[in-house]
Amino acid sequence: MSRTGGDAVENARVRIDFNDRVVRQFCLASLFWGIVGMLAGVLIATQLAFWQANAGTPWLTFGRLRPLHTNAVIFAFVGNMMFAGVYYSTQRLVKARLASNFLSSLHFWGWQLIIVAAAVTLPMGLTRGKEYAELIWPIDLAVAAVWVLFGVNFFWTLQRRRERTLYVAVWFYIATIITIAVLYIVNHLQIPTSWTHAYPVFGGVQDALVQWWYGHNAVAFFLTTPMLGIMYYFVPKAAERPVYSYRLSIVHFWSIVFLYIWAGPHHLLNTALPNWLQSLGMVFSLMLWAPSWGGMLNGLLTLRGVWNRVRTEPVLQFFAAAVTFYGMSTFEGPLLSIKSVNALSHYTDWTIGHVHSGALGWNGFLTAGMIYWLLPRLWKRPLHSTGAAQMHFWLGMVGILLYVAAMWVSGITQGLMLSATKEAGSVLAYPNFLDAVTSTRWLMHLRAFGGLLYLSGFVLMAWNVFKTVRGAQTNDAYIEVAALPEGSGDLTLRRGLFNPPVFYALALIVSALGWGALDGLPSGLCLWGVVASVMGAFLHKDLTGASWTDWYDKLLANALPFSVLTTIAVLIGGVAQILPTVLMSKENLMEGVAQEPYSPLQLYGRDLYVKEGCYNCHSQMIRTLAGDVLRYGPYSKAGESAYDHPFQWGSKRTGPDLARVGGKYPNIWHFHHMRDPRQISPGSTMPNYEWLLREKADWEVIPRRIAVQRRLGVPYPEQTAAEILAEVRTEADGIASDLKTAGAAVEADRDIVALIAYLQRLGKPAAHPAPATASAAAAPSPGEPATTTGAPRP
Amino acid sequence: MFRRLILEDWQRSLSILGWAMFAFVFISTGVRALLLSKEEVGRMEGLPLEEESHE
Repeated sequence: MSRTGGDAVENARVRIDFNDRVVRQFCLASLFWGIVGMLAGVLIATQLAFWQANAGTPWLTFGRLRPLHTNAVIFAFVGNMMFAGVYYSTQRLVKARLASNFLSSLHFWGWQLIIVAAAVTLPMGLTRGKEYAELIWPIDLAVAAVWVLFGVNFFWTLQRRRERTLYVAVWFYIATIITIAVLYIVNHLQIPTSWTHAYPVFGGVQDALVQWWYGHNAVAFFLTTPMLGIMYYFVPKAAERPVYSYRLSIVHFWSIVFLYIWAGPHHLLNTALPNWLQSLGMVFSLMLWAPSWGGMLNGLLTLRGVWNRVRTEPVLQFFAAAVTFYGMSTFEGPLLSIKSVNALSHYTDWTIGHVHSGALGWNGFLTAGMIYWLLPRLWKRPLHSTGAAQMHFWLGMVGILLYVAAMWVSGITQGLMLSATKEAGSVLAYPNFLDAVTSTRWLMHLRAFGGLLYLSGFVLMAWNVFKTVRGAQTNDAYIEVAALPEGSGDLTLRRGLFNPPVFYALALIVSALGWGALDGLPSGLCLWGVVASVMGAFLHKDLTGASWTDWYDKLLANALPFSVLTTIAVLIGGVAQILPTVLMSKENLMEGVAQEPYSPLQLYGRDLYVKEGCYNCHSQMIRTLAGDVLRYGPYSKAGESAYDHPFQWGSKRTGPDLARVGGKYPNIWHFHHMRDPRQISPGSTMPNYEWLLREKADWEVIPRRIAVQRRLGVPYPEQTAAEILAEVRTEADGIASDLKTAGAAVEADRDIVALIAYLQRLGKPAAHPAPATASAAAAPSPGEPATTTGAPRP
Repeated sequence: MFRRLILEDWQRSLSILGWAMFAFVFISTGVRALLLSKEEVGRMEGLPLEEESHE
């Protein structure tokens, strides 16, 4: 490793000028986009209380704005803050200026461009229909490219460092950069059908697993690990005390990195996800409790001896509250991952409340604390108003408490009402879904008010920041350090990876996996492999007297082998969960129910369903729970959505599940319901979708989309474009004619017709039998639905 | 009425193996952390607090 960068002199003190310009830029961007994201959040919270707030325009509906809100808060607000914190602390921890000014600027402006692109495309309905992964494929490519720039800039900086060992915060940053890259790429594998549309390569249960492996770990490795790194740097700085226990931070890091990646399936409990994956997700989520609280205690105890300052210093107030919220939300997360608790909480506001205690309390307050701490240092001026900062803290705190408490109460109310039965569990106590909507409406008002208070705090902060930085000097800081001697303590990638500790650890893991995965003699041999790995390690040490702690210490001082081993630690969980599910044939996952492909018109209608973000309020997954089955029909089986690219199981039910809505109502019911939901369902909060009656469908795209579906393995017959369009016309004319008979005149080529075609198809039995496989024959149990699903092709 | 037939064989052992691997990681990193010398711990703890940058 070369430590003789451009400004370094061997064996002498060298001056290092930090690149604080990019840190300042990211701080301001975080604040700006934070307000935009929170404003969108307050607006959609208001829409849940007043449907009129959807404003009658497609750009501002809940379904389109909710992804804008989540993406803005995660990737724009927290993302920009994360880059600021990582760049500021890394430069100081490794005593090196960021490697490249050009890459730093490209990173900043590239990220802002991505955010602008997202802010334009999401309200237009250009979406992939996967939560926190909605951005269309050209933007996805840009995200991947900018993330690589970030990684190159970061690791290049580590390469030029003048500090031998890597502080634990840097470990967390390394894990973040690597894991987000892996997660993002895998979950965004897709085949484009146009410049603005693509189908994900995974479908049905496989897509669900990959999505929530990504979705959960986006929380873990975008909203948690970098925040923990920032906590380990900035909390000691603000408290002017060392971290409470560096030893605990080591255990915290490795436990978090290893455990988090396994916990994704807890988003799919009681669904059609294979049971072993549900158990795995639940067990690992519960185990996460321990390291999370270890980290929280480490953060809070770092403040020991300075609690008197917490009363008066806004930075410490924000940090203390942020770490406390980290503890609360990481207590609640495992709780919600217990299958029986999840049966109540899933698809309700409880989960939303949980997410917001993490995002507003942990991430938001940490951001505020960090920026308030950085302001005087980056702009060389004292904070304009400490009183305003304290007011910000209390506005935010009261806002969160109102918001989260409202969500707890409404979530538990929804869960209890929608699952309540009477007459020995044979009849629903509240058969009308709207009962749960109307009885919790007052809590939506409270939720919106809490969000408004939280937003007001950040607006106050923006004013405070503006007053502080206006006209301020912005000279970058520098330090003088001794140059490190060349090469001492270096560990090459080869020596870092090909050595006895790694060999014995990998042998143990592979043998253990083989023991569990194989049968008969190979399994027995693998069991011996487990024993031999352990025995071999002890014998090796005994015979050679090797000291492997030296290897470990060197590993911590060498970013490349450390990063590779971190990658392996992270990948084990993903590989163990995803590979068996992805490699398993679709027939084995179908549970005896084979989905028939949608008709071309239905497929187009499905794309409209995704475009309008219907999945934000409606699930398509009837869980194996009495309340679900009594309300919606027989529980969903994996095969029923096997060819759904993307899957649409949803994560929240503001409206009812739609998995078996097909045929439940006549076409005219859907027509009127989409035009004015309250005409059919008094008290509904659903927006009016009048434009669907006006917008002309673009049928010309359908042949291309079906061609891509065929490439993905969906068994469409080979047809010419003309044949496909003729089929579309026939089906659309039939629906339009039916609507006309019922009194609604609409042309066949309007969006509403395609959407009705899709909705009427959901859950309808198909004409063809399921594939004859062993599992298919064995899976159905008494009282089960038909063995196929989906309407016969017209 | 709602019980589903669960057809899983080797995959269910992954929960146990996953737990065992985590136990291995947890114990080994825990032992290593405990064995860190006081000097090393003190040096690492102090890294964020080293001399402040200045104009």
